[in-house]
Amino acid sequence: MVDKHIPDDTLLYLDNVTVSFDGFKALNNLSFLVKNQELRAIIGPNGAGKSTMMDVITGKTRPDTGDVLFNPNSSMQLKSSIDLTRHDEAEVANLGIGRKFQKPSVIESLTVWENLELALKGRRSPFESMFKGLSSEGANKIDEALEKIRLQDRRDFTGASLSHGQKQWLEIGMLLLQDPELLLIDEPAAGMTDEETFRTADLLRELSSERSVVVVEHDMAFIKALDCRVMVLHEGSVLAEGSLEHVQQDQQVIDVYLGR
Amino acid sequence: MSSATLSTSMKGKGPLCRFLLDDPAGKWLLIAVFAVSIIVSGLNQFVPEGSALHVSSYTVTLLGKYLCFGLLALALDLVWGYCGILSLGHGAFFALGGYAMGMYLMRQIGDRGVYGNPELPDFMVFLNWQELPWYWQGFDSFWFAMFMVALVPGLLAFLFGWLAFRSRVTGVYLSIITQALTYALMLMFFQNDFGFGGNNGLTDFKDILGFSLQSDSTRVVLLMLSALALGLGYLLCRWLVNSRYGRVLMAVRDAESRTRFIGYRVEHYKLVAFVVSAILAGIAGALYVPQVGIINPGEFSPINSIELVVWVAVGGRGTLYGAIIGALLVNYAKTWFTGAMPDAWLFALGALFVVTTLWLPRGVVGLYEQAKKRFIKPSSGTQDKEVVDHGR
Repeated sequence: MVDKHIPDDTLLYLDNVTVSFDGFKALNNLSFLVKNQELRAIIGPNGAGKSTMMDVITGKTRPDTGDVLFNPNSSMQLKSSIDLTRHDEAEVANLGIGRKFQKPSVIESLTVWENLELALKGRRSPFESMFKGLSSEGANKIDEALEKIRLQDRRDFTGASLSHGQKQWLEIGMLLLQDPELLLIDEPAAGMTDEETFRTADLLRELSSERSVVVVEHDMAFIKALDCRVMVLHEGSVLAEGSLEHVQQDQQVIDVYLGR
Repeated sequence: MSSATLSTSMKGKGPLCRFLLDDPAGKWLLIAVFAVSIIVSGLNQFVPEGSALHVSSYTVTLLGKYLCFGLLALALDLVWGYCGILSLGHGAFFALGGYAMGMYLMRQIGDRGVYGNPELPDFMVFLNWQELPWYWQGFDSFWFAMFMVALVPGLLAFLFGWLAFRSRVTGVYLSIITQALTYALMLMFFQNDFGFGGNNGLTDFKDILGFSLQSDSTRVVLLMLSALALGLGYLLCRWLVNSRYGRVLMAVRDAESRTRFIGYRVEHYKLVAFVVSAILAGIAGALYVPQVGIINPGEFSPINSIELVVWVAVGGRGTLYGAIIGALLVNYAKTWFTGAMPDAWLFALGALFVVTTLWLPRGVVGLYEQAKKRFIKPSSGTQDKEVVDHGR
């Protein structure tokens, strides 16, 4: 179905995606691609379509028109090209796309350890959840993640008892265990201290060595720390793309966003 | 909060062992249920009727009825307390199980009915029906009827749940359509042509598997079977909610959309819980009918399902044992009120619900927890520590 030229190492491919709600175009012919192991930051004013873009990729919203492809070059990667618009949230998640919300959403009544176990890749059907126990390999992965997010001493505390920053970290830990090929992260630095913000940026850079990471963020210091390609979204389409310095000097970007 | 550590540290020791260590409240409740059932049975069977210690067969049946309600409340708590599905139509599954049992009991009457027709139940003779309708075939077999007790509520729950959960109907909307479901069934069963005895329902039962339903020993056996069903139902539900399946259910309850994004098919999880719950409710209904001796469309009435929700809320939802305690307490109160001051019962029930909603969000069980926290406060910190030490 793909007759356009798509670069070989493309993981996610959006072409002319339009989504409208009651005539308002939340996404307007949005096209962009994300490469394998790329770290990408997306900025844009409120209402630019960042959340809708995430919803379209993760199967929550179906676009009116346009293609959303995962692994578009099937022949190159021995994996089949997947039309994400045909799958729902759970299927998209199991295809290897993880999503972190702006508001930290961990399961409040479960402990840190249980939250991580819930996210651990595999064993997703009700039957497996009843009869398939945790492998020692899985337990090790959970321990590793606990260490990485520095919540070892909180493993048996409920999600509800964590601070805001700890919840953000737990959620990142959960994403690690989901082990997605593509990670979509919505404002990870919101509500974090400066130290936590830089630690998060480090972690995301580290993560992008094994997978593609797309970060939506407002915090310019954070984006600077990410040190990656930046895309500016405005009124549902891409306004500018390039290094942070490049987009910061773009007159259009200054007008709609940075200059305010 | 300690279930994860306990389940990892006790892996391979079997669900019963884990249950006994992890759930003291449930353990003591079940021990109490069995002890009371055995004592009541013994006092009924072995103490002569004139004695002060003799327990009447009325009490035996009353207790059996309470235990059936306990099982029904347990079934609701599985879906409401753990998965956030507030079903206002769970009485329908109870009644369907009851009707399946009632049909078997009707066929057992044989030619001892008023009209003496060996093949047709009285109400069919009265309606001038010439032969048994197809859906009554097979109900002369006890095991077929028992199979239907589980199958009919389970299948209805499957179809209903499949449509509702797949379309992502949740919250109040789901509650309303479950209410509509039981109401629709009530209207259907009220019809004479529907073939289930119309508004009289099914009654005048004589015996079950050849044992007279009027005899005390049959009543005692039914009481013990009710206690057994409640115990097994409890163990099943406890095992489910303690497994990872149960934790996914809680995740669905707390953050449904988040759980989808982790990759769980939420509708499948809800469906399994809903079907298991409906089957348990059906079994409760099937044990209830031979003890009370009648099943009629009134059992489908929405008010029954709402009362059921009150039992679970009063006991404390999301604990399993709380639901059972709630069912026993509220029904005991109902028996007392309807005897002592019948007009006051509905007011008392309403007041109970208001008090629970306002001051006891976690029910009677939560009240106990609150009291424990208040009076033994200093140990709460060490408790957490203990849990940490426990795990691996």
